[in-house]
Amino acid sequence: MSEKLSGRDAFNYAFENYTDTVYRVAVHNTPGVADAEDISQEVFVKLLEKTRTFKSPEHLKAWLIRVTVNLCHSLYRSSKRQTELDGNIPAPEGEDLKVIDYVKALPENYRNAIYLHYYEGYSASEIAGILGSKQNTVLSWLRRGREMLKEQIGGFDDE
Amino acid sequence: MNNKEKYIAEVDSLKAGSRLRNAIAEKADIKPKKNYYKMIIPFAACIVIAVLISLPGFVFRAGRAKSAADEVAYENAAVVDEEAGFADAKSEYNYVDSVNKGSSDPGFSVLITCGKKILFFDGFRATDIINALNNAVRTGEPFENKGEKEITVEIVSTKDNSSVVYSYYRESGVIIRNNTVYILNENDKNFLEGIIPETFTD
Repeated sequence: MSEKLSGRDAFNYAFENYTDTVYRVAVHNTPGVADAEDISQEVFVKLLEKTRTFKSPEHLKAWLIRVTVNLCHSLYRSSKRQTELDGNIPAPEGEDLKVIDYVKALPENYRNAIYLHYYEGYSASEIAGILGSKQNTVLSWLRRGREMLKEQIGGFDDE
Repeated sequence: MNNKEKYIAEVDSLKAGSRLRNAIAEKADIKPKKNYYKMIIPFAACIVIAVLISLPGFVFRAGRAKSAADEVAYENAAVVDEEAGFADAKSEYNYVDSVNKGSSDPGFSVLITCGKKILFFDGFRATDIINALNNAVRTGEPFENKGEKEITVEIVSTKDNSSVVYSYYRESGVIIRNNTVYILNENDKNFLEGIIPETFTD
């Protein structure tokens, strides 16, 4: 699928196909489900307000991810919680933790790179495009993220 | 499963719930796609409840047949009930008759071969006879494992001569192999005579 999307069409397409993606990105960047839902709603409101044309559904998806990450970042940068959380999700505690809890506890760039690479299947260069960074920087985030996970849960990828 | 695979599975389970979808849809004033699976469950439950509620109605209809053919078929089921001792034959027949209401075609003949004996019936609804046979086969108690007579039940359309072979199975007394019903003793012949007593011929 490579048709251009804009306005209501873009919104409807995103709503049908990328709501879960937006929510997952939000979950990775917020401490709770309620926050993730608020952010997700806000992302779609921004999409409604947006007048630009997306070159393709992939372009639309990348925009949604970028906006979601930015909104989460802004929320915690501007909130009082920033001083408590320092931009990161609290480190996991207890014995019933899932792998995702450890990923969420990574620094923001690391966890987003891990999510986009391992779940969404983006390459380092694609992630760099989405997050507005350089490919080598993304590779570095991925490597460090994996190292941190290895220390905490004994490895992440079979490499 | 390594940690990467666990992670992917965990993320996969994260889905935007209906509350979030509804909230977004509300903001955009669109109708969210309905979850049809969730809709089917109450719908199916309603159907089951409706069937359960109407079951007694089928039983009470035991004495009421809709047509001459129904009347005969019903009476034959009654013969099965009274002579062969099938306690449930009436209600079973009546239930099946009601369920199949409108689905059978009175323009059918029924051809049954029983060993060398051939039965040919006209004017019966095919499903009436087959269902009455099935009821008896389900009950099964009078049938004993003695000898074998081959019976083939074939429904022939009087309109275009097309035919369908019916089969039914009961472990005790009646054996079915490749659309052929093996009736195992004399009681079964009597039963067939009870179903359509006047047209049983050698």
